Amino acid sequence: MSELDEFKATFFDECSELLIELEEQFTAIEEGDKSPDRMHAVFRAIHSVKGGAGAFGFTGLVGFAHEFETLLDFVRNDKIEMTNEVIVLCIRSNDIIADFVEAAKVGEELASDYGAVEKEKFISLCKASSGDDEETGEPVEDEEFDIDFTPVMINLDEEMGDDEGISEGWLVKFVPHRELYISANDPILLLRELAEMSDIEVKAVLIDIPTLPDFEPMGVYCSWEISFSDDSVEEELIREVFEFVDGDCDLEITKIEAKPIQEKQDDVDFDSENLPSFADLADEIKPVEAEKPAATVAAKGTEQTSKSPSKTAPVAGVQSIRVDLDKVDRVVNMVGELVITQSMLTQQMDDHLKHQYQELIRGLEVLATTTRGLQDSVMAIRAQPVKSVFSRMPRLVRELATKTGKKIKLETVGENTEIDKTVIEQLSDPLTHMIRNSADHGIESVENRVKAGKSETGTIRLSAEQAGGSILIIIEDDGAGINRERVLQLARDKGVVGEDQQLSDDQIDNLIFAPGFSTVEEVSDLSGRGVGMDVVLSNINKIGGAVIVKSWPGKGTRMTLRLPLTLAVLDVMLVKVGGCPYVIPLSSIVETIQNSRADFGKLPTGAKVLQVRGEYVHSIDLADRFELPNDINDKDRFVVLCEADGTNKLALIVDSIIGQQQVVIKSLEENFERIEGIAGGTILGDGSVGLIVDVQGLRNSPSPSHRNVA
Amino acid sequence: MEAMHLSNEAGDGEVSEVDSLQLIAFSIDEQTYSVEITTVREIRAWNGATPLPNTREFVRGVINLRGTIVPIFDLRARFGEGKTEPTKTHVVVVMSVDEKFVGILVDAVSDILTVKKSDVHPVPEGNSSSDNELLRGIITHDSRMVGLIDLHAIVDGAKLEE
Repeated sequence: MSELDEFKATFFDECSELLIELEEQFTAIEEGDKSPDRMHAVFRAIHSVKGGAGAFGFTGLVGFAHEFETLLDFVRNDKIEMTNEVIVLCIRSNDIIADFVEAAKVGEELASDYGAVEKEKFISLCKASSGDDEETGEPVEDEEFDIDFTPVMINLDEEMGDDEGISEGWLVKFVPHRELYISANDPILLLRELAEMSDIEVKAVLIDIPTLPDFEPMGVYCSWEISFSDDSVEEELIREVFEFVDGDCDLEITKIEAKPIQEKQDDVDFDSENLPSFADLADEIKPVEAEKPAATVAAKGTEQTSKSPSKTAPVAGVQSIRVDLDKVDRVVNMVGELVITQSMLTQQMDDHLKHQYQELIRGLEVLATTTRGLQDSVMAIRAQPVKSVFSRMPRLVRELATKTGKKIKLETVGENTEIDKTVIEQLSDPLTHMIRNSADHGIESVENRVKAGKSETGTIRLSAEQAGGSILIIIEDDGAGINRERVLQLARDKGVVGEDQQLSDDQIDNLIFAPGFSTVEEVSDLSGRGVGMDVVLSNINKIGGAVIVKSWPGKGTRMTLRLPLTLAVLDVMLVKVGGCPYVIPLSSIVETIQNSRADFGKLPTGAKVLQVRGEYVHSIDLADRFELPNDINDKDRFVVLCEADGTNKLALIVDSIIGQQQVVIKSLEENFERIEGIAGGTILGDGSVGLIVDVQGLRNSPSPSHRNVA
Repeated sequence: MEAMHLSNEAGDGEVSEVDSLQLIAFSIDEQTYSVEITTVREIRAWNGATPLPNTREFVRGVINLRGTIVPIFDLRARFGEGKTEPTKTHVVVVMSVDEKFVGILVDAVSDILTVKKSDVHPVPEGNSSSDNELLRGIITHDSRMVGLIDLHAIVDGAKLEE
């Protein structure tokens, strides 16, 4: 990867973060929060996108962002009122920006007039109010956009400078560097100049002055804090005073609010013209709400005087350090190894040894605790808030609403719930599809809703919460519910369900996940992307999750996704089949039954069915299925009753049950290939390889006699 | 895949001396076979493998190689001479082929050979194409025949026929 490509990748990473933030801001604005801070955050985000885009020559994006920015500038300066119409335009424009970014990312060209309508609107809106405006400085009618645009990272403080009404003054932190003195500047002159502008209070910060033995004659130890008692002075004017020492000092200008002023600790002496992410690195890894851009600096941090960055780089959205996921994965894998090694060591201590080496045992116990702690911490690194997926949904719902002509509102709850990154990556598609499904099939048209005595606007509620060792993601709509008659009829027509088969309501509801099933007669361009809900189910199953549908006719549908917290560690039951170790994920096991007590029946094809509490369950003898020797008396074997998905059960017959344990999932495909009925491998306590049974896969795949490699 | 294979070979050529090959020779019954030393990652004693269900006979199973699951192929079975009854003296040669780790189960490792590339003879055309498929060439060493195994064929053949 060339350096430029790397920068580009960083730019796109940042864009996606910025777009997530924009989406959030607009959602809040749409809900009526029109505080200036939000407008500033939006403006800044768009400006950052524009700046980066300019550097890489994405002219379409730059052109559009530029006009959008101009509009936003008018809005935040109260030149244009934030009417609903403007908000809708902004949200639409935000989507267009996202499209431009996406196109740039994949290297496509959008139509040259893409977003032209919105651009026109910006210009006309701006023109309408530009008569009395000179402050923006940029020619509004700049239709022919200059390609030589030089990306300059916006200077937050300057941008914030003309913010009216909130601040009660300024706090200027001035930390001269040695270079400042070397080039014969004198702080006193600067301070005097400031004193001429307004009433100021100057405080010298002497805390850094070392004791005499450490004192360097040429060292610079003194810095100053200058407080302006009122905000009549423009921040820009303050900055002008320091113009000649720019780069030779750290300068931080913050608004003084009613809160006590704290100082920001930051020992990285970086150039503020850098990309914002570099500033993020130095910041605390705590998400800082973007709502209070300038105030954040004063409101957080520790009470310690030190150098501060000369200007505050725009800080927005989730702050993070960027670590290559491969690196994290490597740590996760190594910790996994550590866990295995540790349990191997423990297992190898027999009673004799235990007696002999008690100290060693104690050491091993400490090791066990530490490893577990380490494992938890590493998993926490991989965890991410579901926000990154949820934030894509409002746009989806907007588009769906437009296309279907329905009125749909999306509510999201619990966006900060954290799940393993790999789970999150797998979540986007199923979630998108389920929301499409809700909007397309669940929510009724406006007329039908009114007829049913409901409000015109349908609501889709997307929520995430942690429940024990799993995460529940619930998609709920207040639509018509599943049309069971039609679903059943269609299922019969398509042969998914036999003509005479009687199904319970729950079973019918879950038919929507049956392969090749779609309830809409004509394939709409929304849900009809060639994938049905069965793909959702298999995707979710693949990551060890389950989907449960519940529907109330006329009232709505609720789809619950149950997902594991992490993919790296699995709770399993260890069993033996034909002398080989197999593990079955504990999450799918309902119960275990001794074979001698199990009640089996035979179907005409010779397939065995198990009767459990009046229910007949398809059963598979793993020894037969895996073509393993079976020399154990049938009576001594065990039945493991599993739940393959929400409602379908499967009985697996195994030779013996060893016990429960936690295992680290290993890929078989890495060095070999996928094997049907096997979800992966794992290293057992004795160092041998155990195979993970793919319960879902076993249920869906035919028996080996007519097997064909998928 | 094929391109990668070719470039690998070119790379190997550069590592060893330009016109010579270093091979690890091992035996199956009386016959000696060899693989290029640059592909060999380690040699370990047979210590059992977990059988993989529904795979072909010569796939002996998988072993744990420091946390990575590595498939083991029974070379004797691959050559259609029946399954090996492994003892503790049998060895597994772990190699990397196309960035995948695979192990082959052989009777014993016998030697390290250095041969000239020009001494690798083509496999004579016969009535069975599988000889050609499994061997890249034949080398004469101490007036004995040593087959140079085509690793890709061994690995690719592991897949079940569609």
